Amino acid sequence: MAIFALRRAGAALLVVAALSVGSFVLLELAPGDPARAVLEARSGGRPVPEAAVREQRAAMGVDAPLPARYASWVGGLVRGDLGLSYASGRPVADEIAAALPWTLLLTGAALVLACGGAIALGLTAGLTRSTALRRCIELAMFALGGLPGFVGALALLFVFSVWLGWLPSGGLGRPGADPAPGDVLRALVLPAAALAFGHHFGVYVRLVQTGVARVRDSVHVAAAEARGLPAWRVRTRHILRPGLVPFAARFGAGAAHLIAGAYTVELVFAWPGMGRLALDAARGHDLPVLVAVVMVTGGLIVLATFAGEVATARLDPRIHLGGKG
Amino acid sequence: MVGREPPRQRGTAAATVRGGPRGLLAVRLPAAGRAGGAAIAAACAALALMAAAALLAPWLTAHDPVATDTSAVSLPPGTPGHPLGTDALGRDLAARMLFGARSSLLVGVVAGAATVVLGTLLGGLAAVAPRPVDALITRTADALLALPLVLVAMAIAAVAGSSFGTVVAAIAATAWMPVALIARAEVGALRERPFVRAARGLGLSRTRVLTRHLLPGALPPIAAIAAFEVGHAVLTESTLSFLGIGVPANRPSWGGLLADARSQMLSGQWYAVAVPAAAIVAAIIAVNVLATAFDRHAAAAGRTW
Repeated sequence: MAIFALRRAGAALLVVAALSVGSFVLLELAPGDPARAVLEARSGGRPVPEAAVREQRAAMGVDAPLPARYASWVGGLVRGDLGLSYASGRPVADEIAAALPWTLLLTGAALVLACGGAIALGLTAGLTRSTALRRCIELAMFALGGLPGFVGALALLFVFSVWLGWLPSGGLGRPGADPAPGDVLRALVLPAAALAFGHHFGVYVRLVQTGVARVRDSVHVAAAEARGLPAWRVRTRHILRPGLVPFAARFGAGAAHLIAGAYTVELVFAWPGMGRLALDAARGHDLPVLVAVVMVTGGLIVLATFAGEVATARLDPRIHLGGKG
Repeated sequence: MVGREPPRQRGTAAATVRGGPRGLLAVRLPAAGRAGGAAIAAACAALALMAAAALLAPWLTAHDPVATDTSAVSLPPGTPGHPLGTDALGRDLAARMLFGARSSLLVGVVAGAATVVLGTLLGGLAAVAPRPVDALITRTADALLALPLVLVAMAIAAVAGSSFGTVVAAIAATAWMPVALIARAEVGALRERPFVRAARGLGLSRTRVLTRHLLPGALPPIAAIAAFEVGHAVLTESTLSFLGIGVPANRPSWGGLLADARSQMLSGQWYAVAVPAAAIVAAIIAVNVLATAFDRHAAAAGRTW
């Protein structure tokens, strides 16, 4: 197990390294002078004297050769120094630190909802003897596949917030003040639901369903039933556990899609997370922020993929740990 | 992040999922006998209608889709002269829908085609190229599959500036991986077949074997996924436009219409959102219905991959 985890961790590190090179290239490709951009952001858009720009260039090390710049950028990354935002002139790390908890809260809640919903629906569709019920679930999931996350978010927003008025339409209390936990919870319901039941939800239901349906008729299930174990125990221990393998194998990709979907959902519900940050950065060509968001999100996804791989190995004893492949 | 296995046995758990990398794109329509035929006909009709609307847009409406009219702001549907009403700036929604169909469908088809060409080329290359190239392509594909693609597309759009070409490039650059993995698996399976060995034994060049013998055999499964890629491209385009980084803001697109209509919806004018939302959902579902039919047809013709 330890060797398997180590090998996977090594692979994850490689992906992070590739990601950092890609992000750095993106930064380098951007037109314009970063030193001037930072100074102009601080002076509120007024032109800055050339001497100050030269000084700032030296301070930021813009003139150093490419490998040296990459090394210092990675060094900063490791220390948590992500550079300065072109738009605000503030450290990018501060902006990320302000936005990340909100995105983690939203995606975490959506992940729980999506996993719970996918397992419940997939188990139902995989085990039911009723063709009509299975058909209904499959058809609903197919229809959901054509629904972009933000369309679902807008629909939820209209029904529960504008029409019925049950839940807030977005934002988190008054700006500046720390919102009360109750407000956060109420504000969380709609975005989390929109994110969890987006167009990828059907894929997860299908993964659980096929996994469960394949396991249902195996010998070990018949043996468990013949031993007289209660039905729920057979379902959870003997059908669901091995049936979850395909789902767990896709867990990392699923988390990636949730995080990607979070951007549009955050926009619809004015949620102050990373999506908001990335979007403002993309519109304002604020590349340090954008690259930092890419790096942080990429790191999170690598972690989720790693967790999914370990979970897959735990669920399916046939996957050799530490052995080949 | 697949290990060092030979091409045909990509043995991690992810590869054991039926449907392989395609499973990420869309759920297939459940097989449904006669109702399935009706669904296919409906999907064809819906897409033909949208294509006609896009082609004939200038003749179907008298309004300029970007002209604002402060005397006719936020009109409800059914107003004389404005069949779908107007938005908060007084722009005619019917005209914006019709011209928006041009952007959305054109980007969908062009980006879908670009995705398939790029994926097929890279996948074919990975299957016949020496090991390091193969490893580079498959590792890149695996790594990209694990990234939030909207974010990557956003980064590309931010660096290159928003334009039609950027959107197509961003979609192709973030969606080629499933096609490439399938093309690689197909070509890899074909290259050991007797007729390919015979072609190579006859002394044909690598390029000729690839283009004449390997790629045509690999095309049916690729064609099936190509249709799903079009649906995916429509979805991604609408998402990017909704985020304001898709096609330029002065060109109407369905995703952009939704972004404009959000504030109208909050004041109770739900129809401003409903019409473009319905168009996007209908387009994607129709494409997915056709793609499923295509996929099933190819599978029934003896291909189970």
